[in-house]
Amino acid sequence: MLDLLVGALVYSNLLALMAVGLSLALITCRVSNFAHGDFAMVGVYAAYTLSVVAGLTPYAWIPAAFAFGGLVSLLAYLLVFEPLRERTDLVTLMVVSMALDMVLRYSLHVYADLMQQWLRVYTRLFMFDDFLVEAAGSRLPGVLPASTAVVAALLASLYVLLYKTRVGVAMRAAIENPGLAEALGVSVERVFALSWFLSGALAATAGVFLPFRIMVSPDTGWSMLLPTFAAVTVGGIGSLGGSVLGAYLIGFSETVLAYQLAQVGISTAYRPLLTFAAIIATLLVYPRGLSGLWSGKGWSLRRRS
Amino acid sequence: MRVLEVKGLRAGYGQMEIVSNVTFDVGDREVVAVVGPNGSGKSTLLKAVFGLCRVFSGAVLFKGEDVTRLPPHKRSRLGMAYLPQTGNVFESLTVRENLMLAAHDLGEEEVGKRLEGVLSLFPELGGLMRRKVRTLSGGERQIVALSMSLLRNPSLVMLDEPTAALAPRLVKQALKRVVELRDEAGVSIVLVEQNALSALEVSDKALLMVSGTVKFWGSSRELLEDRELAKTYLGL
Amino acid sequence: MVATSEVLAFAVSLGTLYSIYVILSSSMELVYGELGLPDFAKAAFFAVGAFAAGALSVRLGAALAGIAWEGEFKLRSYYYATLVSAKVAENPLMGLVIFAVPLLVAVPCAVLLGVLASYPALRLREDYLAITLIAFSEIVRVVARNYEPLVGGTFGAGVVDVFAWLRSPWRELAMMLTSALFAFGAWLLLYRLSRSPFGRVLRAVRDDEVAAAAYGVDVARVRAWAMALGSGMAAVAGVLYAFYIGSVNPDDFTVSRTFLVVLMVTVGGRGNPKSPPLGAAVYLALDRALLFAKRFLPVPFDVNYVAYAALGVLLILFVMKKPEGLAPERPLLTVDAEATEGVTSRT
Repeated sequence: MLDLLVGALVYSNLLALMAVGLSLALITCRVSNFAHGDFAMVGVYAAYTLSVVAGLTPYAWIPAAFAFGGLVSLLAYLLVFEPLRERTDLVTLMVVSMALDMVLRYSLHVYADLMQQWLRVYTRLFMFDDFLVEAAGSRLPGVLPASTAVVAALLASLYVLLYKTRVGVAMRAAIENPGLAEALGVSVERVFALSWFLSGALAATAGVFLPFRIMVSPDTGWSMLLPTFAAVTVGGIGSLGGSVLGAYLIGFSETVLAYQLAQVGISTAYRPLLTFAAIIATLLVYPRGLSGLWSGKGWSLRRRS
Repeated sequence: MRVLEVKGLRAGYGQMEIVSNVTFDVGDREVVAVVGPNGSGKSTLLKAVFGLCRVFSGAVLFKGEDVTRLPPHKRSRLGMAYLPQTGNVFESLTVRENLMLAAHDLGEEEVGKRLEGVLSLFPELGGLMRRKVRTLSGGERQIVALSMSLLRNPSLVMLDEPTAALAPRLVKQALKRVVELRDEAGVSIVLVEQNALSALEVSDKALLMVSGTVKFWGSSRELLEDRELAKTYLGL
Repeated sequence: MVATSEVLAFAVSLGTLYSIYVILSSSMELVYGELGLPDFAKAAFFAVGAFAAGALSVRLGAALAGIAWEGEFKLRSYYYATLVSAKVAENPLMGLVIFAVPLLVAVPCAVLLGVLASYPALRLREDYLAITLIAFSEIVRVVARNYEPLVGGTFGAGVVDVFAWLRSPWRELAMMLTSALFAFGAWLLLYRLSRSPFGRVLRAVRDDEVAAAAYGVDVARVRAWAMALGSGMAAVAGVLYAFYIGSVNPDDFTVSRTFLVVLMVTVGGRGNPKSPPLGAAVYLALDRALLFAKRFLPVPFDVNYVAYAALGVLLILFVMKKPEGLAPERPLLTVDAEATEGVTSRT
């Protein structure tokens, strides 16, 4: 039972970071970024490489992963999404992000092959060694307090950035009405660049925690993608707070459901079905998502926005 | 030196020419009203002056400098302000945040000074600071939008139908405020208005546009007294 | 020195695969290029055809040949596939039946599913529709992967060799000719539809749904028809694919497959019926070229990876530099140019 809770919480923590990251890409460029999961993998391999080459546990390399993931995402924005932002339609942007996913994912595969040869470590289906913490009368895996602390710190920082700083206000303004922001002298491109940096950085940070719980390969990012989309959708597209809430909802229900299925003898491979069903159900039945409950304005999912 | 000079401007969207050969100018502390029937290109004229649509030929001079090819945010920094009819405030932000944004490239004390100036013009803003703009009425929003422009200490403010969202009895009041603006903030104003009569009563000069061309350019009084034009194009 | 028979075999095999991809991209062109509906569940409709062949061919064959079935499907399907193929070698008619039945089952199923999938389009913005369809496509795959009696789960299912009554190389040639025939039929259907009033209606809905409705177009019905046709075509491709490969594996029908078809249509050019053959050719050429290069470039990593990454780059480049594709859409001229000239010169 305790293990179930631990698993659910850690998973939800990761999803929260991923979901907020995906949301940032979505609300700035309106692109459902299919390459988002790969930013997480960039973080993993960055932390892994550094911890093998320079020593120290991967936890210590989280800031490096943050920076790396941010950089890759920033490049994706500057080279691909910003030039296309106003020139093409939403579906094409999505298709482009799928293409980007191909490029990133398979580049990671190549890197994994090379890293395995040069550093002589397993670079597929590997896990990180965790430390144990004594608490609540039992021994808990270190990833639990570590991920919770980091997620809390990052989300709090993001809140401060968005609501208490000038840059944050400029970001929110540019997201709502880029034309007007531009007219007032705000460089929308610079502000969006910051959002994209954060998007990738958050995903990369989430990625570092993954190998402490499951076996990781370059394709793991893709499998994190659908739950991330579900979290953003259920939480209410366009709402960062909603994404966080959605992440915990999806994270917990998925974990609990998988457990129940196992009890009944149904293969846990059916677990993704919950995610897919959640996405479809939300979009067709109550598209505003959770955030529709507290904010009057809903993100436009209907045609002719 | 005139604050704004527009010479032989031809502008539009894509391949379509909407504004044809328009020439006018605005002096220091002058209010120029742009009137005319629907679809005559009045809004497009303002956009062209600000740099938001395609200019085919002609020139726009701002305080003597040729700004015809300059991007909008640079014109904004030179002292030109443009207030579109809609989308002129950030609805999801509070009034305070909107104003903060308008002053984003200013130093702390400068912001304080200008804010004081704006509040003396529009005292009601004080009580609205923490409200999200989407909860405000049409008139209140226009005041926020205008304040945002004024915070940037413009020399020229171009207003596109500022009274459009207002209840009729508020229109006269609003336009009076516009004149106050000219007197107290020392700005020149270009005002596009559907309410031709009210606009002509408060303005110094008038530009009558019909189907993209200028049918009258001169003092507002003259236009009001010209029975023919006033009746044909303005329904007066 | 490469033997001529090897080259021939390669060409025939490539020809079959090309035909299958032409059918798939024609189906995508119809729904996404002409109608503008992002059919990201294409892999699922493709799968319906393949799964029908996988689930039915061996079972049907065994029943027709009077072979008694022992053991679990997932473990024995390949074994029985071989047995049934031996029987088909003696009886071409059986081969025909085993080929036809999955077609007759898969197409109506796919059509039904396609019509169903057209309804969310009424309520969702395009990119969310695409995500919904992807989710649906993955559900189909996950179910097939885990419900073993269907196509053997992760073991996959063996498929009967319906041309076993011919000797090589005639066998492969027959497969290719059959596929080519279907491909030509599918493409011709696309071409005729595109130039017909129905094609104009599709493009009208794509360009401005509200205006089309204002002119009396029943948008929902148009979508349903287009999806029905597109899905049916994809299912046919799926059946051919299963018989060509000789087996069916659920993991072959992922979103990546859909992405490849979208790539073909984007590179080929949306809105022009010439694009499916072009796009499919470009993709296959690139794919084979990269595999070929593998032999000559000793690199310390799997060249397949580079192939996929390169395809990704290709798509991005096309969207950025040549979004109209290799065969751009041309406005359809309905009235003779000379006739209009006479009129305009008089005005």
